[in-house]
Amino acid sequence: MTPDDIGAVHQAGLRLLERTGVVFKHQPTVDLFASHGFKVDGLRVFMNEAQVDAALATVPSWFTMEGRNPDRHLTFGGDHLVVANAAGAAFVLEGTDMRAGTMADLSTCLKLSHMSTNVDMLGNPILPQELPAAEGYRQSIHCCLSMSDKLLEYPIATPEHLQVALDTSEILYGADWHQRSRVFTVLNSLSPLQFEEGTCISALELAARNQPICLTPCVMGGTTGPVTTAGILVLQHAEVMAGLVLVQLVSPGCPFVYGGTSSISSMMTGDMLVGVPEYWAIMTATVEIANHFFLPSRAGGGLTDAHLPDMQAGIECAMGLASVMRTGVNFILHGTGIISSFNAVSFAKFVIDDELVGMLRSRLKKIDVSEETMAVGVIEDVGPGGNFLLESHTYAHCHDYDRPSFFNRRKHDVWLSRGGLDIASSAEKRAKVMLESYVTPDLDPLILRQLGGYCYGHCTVAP
Amino acid sequence: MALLDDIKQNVEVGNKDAVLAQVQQALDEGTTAQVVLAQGLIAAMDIVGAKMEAEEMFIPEVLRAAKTMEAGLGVLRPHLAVGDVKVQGKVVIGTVKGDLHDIGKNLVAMLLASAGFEVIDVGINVTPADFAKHVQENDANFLGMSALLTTTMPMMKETLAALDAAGIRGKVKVLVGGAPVNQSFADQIGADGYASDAGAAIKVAKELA
Repeated sequence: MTPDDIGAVHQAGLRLLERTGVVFKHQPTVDLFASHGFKVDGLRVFMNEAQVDAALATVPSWFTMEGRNPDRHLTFGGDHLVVANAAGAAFVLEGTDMRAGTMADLSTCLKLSHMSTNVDMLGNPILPQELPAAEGYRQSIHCCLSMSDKLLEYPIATPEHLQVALDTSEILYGADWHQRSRVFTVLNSLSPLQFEEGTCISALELAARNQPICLTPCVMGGTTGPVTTAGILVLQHAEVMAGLVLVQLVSPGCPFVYGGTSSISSMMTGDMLVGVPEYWAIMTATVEIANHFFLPSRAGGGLTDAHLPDMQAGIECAMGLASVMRTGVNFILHGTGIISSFNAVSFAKFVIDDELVGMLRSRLKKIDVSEETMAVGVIEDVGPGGNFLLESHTYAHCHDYDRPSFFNRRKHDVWLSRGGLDIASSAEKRAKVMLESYVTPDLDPLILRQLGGYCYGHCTVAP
Repeated sequence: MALLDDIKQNVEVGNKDAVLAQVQQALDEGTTAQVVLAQGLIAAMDIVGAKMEAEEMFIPEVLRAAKTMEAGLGVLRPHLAVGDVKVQGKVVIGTVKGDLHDIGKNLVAMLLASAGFEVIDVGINVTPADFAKHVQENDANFLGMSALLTTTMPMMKETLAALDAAGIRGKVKVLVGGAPVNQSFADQIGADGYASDAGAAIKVAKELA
């Protein structure tokens, strides 16, 4: 998008906020707006340009999340990229079979995430279906916090979830945990132009503790939003700005991420589509708009409408990830392992996506142009017609190339003699190796006991 | 009859003004309301349903056709006796507790209504007990439940338990749908039917009617 296009989308979003307003389904939130002089009608809040500008003036352009391992702190904003694995899937896809996800699947996925060198952050990948919702939630959070020392994107959909996030942070980091950015969560608006009660409560409570909020509308073109791409961007922008204004009212300077996962709906079924060119364009534009306002961005992911880790999945994921990574996105959720839209996790696809993210990171590195790398000396030494294999310059740099962990780079006969595996089968083998090498990271035994007591306190079976 | 063919075609393309005029014209010319309904309006929606399934018509076009059909039915209604319009079944439909997403549910409700079902839309965030209450109060023979979130799907199972507890599970066919729901989930919780999209929902409901 050109700067003029972005300006037009912003102005259109402001028109919506001023004339149509946004419904916040939580009276204390509406009261807060009213007490700051915002125009309010029932649960509908109207915002003018000056009020949006005031929020844009206080929001930071970057922030750092601090976890329990200082080597794994994560910065959001600027040139930084944080990739998190799949989040919130109810199912596991194995071959063509889709089955309910379990605690064992969650554990497998977390091991892969922990061992990956490309996944920086955890999403809570699988909602275990064998447990009642409340227990399943606590126990899955326990798994995320104990099985890896990577930071977690807390899935917070209800006040009960919020309480678990606050309580577990206190157990991990002590009573003054909120002096630093510890709890990172993605909140969704309820398009078009609404924020549900749970979202309002989470935004108020987290902002009051200065914890980062990634506001991510999921506008579905043609159903929950206008059918046109520009219209989707306008609606998404208006909702992000509304969330930004709320967060900055509660706590000026509170970290905030401009998110978007909007796409189009199938006009044949109404289903949301994520493996489509429109999605890639909307995600690219989302990052461009965030960049324009110097806000950390969240967009895109390894998303596909395919139901196998096949070539369709590969194409769609590569396009989805490359679109946003080339535009300088700061945070990608669902970077690895998600399949069948947002519904399932595939372990084979997790490993393939992991490789893809690594390749894209490699691809996006700026080409190093220096005397050493331009290598004029060695080209002159070899001269016309020679070869470079014996040169010490080649020897010194022969490990610089990106090397795939399991993608095939050998000729047909060698590939065949090694089993002639397709990508999904190779990925399953690679996953096995990653799982076998997993070691649980250290955690203070006292904290581990407290965490276990808290997360398993309400059930009869000990962890 | 050419006029009935015109009505059929105009319902299909959603030309409401033409349908209103032509339905009135057919009545004025002495065609009975039952014939206009069966050979004009319902015949049109049968074609629309087939075209939707063949992916030749898109949802916005189907909905416009359904609205046009309803408008035509409005003209016919004073001329129809009770029993002339065959009701396929009575459906209580809603989004489960904890879930506020209603676009898919609304779509299914609209298409069910245009397919001849009586639809009682009980809205969003409906508790298992309220679903059971609505089924009982309306003496419904279908319950349709929708969930968009993976986190709210378990409420479908709890609603089935609430129907059991109220002693009405056997009286009502339960249909489930929504983005994360699939056939095996439906089987696992003991629902009677599952549909992957709105078009399929109508088909499943008709089969179970």
